[in-house]
Amino acid sequence: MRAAPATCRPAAAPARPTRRPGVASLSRVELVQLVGQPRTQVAAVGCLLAPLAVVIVTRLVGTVPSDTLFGRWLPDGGMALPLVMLGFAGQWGIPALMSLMAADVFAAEDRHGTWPALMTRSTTRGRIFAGKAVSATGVGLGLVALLGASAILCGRLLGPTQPLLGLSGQELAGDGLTGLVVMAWLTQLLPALVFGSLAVMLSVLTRSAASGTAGPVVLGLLASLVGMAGLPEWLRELLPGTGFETWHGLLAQPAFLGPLLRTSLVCVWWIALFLLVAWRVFARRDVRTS
Amino acid sequence: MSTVTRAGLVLTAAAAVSLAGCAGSTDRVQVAAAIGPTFARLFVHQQHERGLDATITTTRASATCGRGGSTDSGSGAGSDWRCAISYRSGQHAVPAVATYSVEVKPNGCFTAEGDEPTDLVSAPSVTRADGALIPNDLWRIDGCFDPG
Amino acid sequence: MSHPARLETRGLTRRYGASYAVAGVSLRVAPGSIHGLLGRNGAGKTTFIAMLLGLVRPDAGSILLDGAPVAPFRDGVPSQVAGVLDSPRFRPGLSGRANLTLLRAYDGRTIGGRTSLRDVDLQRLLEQVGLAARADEPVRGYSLGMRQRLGLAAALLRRPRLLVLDEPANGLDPAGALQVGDLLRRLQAEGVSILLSSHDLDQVEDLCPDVTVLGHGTVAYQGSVNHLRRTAPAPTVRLGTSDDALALTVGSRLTGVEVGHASGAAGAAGREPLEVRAPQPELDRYVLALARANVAVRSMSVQRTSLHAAFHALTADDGPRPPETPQGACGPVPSSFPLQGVAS
Repeated sequence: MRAAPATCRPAAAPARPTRRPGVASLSRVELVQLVGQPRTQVAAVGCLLAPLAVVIVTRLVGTVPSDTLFGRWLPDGGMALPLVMLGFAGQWGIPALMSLMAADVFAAEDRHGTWPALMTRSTTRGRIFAGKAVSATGVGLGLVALLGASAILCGRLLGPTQPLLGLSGQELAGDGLTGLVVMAWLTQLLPALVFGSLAVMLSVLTRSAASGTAGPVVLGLLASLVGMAGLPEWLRELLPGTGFETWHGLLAQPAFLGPLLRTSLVCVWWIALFLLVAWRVFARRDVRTS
Repeated sequence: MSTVTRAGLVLTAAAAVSLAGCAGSTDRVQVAAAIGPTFARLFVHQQHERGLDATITTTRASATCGRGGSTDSGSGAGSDWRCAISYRSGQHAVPAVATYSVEVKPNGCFTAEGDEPTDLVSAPSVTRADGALIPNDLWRIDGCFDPG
Repeated sequence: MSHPARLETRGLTRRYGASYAVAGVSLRVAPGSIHGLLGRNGAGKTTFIAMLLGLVRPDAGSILLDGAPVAPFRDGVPSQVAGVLDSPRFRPGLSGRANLTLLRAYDGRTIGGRTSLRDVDLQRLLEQVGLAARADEPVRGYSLGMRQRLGLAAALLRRPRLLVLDEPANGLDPAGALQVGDLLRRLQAEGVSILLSSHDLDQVEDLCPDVTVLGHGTVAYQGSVNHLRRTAPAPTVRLGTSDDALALTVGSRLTGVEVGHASGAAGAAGREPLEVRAPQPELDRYVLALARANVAVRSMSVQRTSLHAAFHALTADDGPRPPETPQGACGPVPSSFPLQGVAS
């Protein structure tokens, strides 16, 4: 016995076909949102102006950070500026930038309770996860690149009066020097991704933006403290923060790339571990409104 | 075994193999091999800056380093390293020796402060040929080497 | 041969530790029909709906859409299905319209298409759910009712053929609930099938000819509302009289009429009103008998309609309990009422 209502039309018009969005388009959506956030814009302006601030502070204070490599030549301007900033960036600057961008991307949905609305769209959890992780770490890397580019540009503009002396006493100048400094900043990107992935993992596990932002910075500082203690070299190179210092080899003569290659592998391992853990938790979690 | 697990094992094996290469920690040969040529280049640079012996372009230098009171043995990071650099510049047949107190950090970077001879390496500034004071590049040497 | 059900679940189960939130629930929603899902708070309605929408992973059972099995938790919500969980939430800093635009981007609708058409779509949708006037205000200023409407709009964005709604009239005033009801009927007329969960019996009675009643995670009744009403115990009426003691005596002499104090103890002292449980004809005779005995009826109010009474009986704390082990994916439904299929 059919109980269909009399008004039921058996063949209603088919819905307009929808294309299920892939990771690329989801990343784009997330990217647009991220870039529109005040926090991102403030961070971008900060990265742009940071080198200038370093120069001004150095001139005002009068002393130089002599414990940092190339710190003694900071007042002379030139490529010493981006190289000194490399030293600071690795300690806490880059972990802070990456976690600032990455931590909130997941935790914000938890905070606002918007996961159900998001997950009942024509897409899978995998793509949502990938879109958010890619866009958040991508924006972070963009900020790191912005910081480096601004430092290098600033250094070029406040040009040196004499060539810079490298880590083996060699003279470095002109485009060759600039090229080396650019490469040195590029080596920061992979270790930066380690901390970005750590931020993603912490924010997925704890569902809190605070621990996702503070956690990687604290852990980064801890790792560098531990690295300064008397550890065997192979153990030291397993720590996530060690990759930030491998640029030293580029400025020596002959240049040595051993640490860079070894820590790159370790970085990939850490990134895979953090993202895998984050994904496993995310994929299996029950989603409720509150 | 899933693809992910397999990829993970490969990565771990590769990391282990490559890291096994650097079994030991910093040793004296590494420090000496780094500081010697660095000193040599800085010496040449300084001579040019001071306007002295402009024809000198190469200086051979070899260093011996040790820590904890000894002159040629020791390993590991620390601030009690001492290096003696014997160098021979262009015209002088007799080699001269400069000594430095070196602090070696775990990441393979070192800071060397000059001890002897005082007028060459122990003063923060040196005089130029025309009498002006310029910073002494040999007073403090910062350098790095591969610790692995 | 009949069309396959638009939505069918077989033995859907979800368990948390040792207790079952949903235990072997099977139901069918016919194409173009509105099916009610009833139950007290905590009966498992929201968990069941969350499993349909891929938000919670089922421990056992299967979900079929137009006869074909789907796995929303693993593959995401099928493209022709949309739903809203109870009290939906949105980004508080964005306006309702902006939230919808964002959600549509996640749906992939911004790929291609012309801008003007997209905005017209949204405007019409906002008018349909009654949010057009306040669509551009930030969501943080929305009431629960407005968020419910926005949630409905977010689901309708996807032009679904199956709509799964969890308490859609929650937080809406009666006029708003009516408006939603009208909207749902219009959608049904366009061929959309709707699964509607609610603890508001009156609304469900209005819209849904067929219901599934959940109690403690299992199906306590499945069939038409009319049948449920007929099988219900008689309605309860609260009576205020000029002489309660005499009214009790009169009632005890009539067959088919149960009279007692609201507290349940017949003859208890105090001012509690009387409760009469009797079918309509017997109730009429009782009132006439009271008049003949010079007892005036001062107030009379229906405490529970027959539907409410039936629901109460089905979902009371001592109602049907889940079985020791829930039925398998294709096993029979554990219910104590005769199963009446929605569409064969």
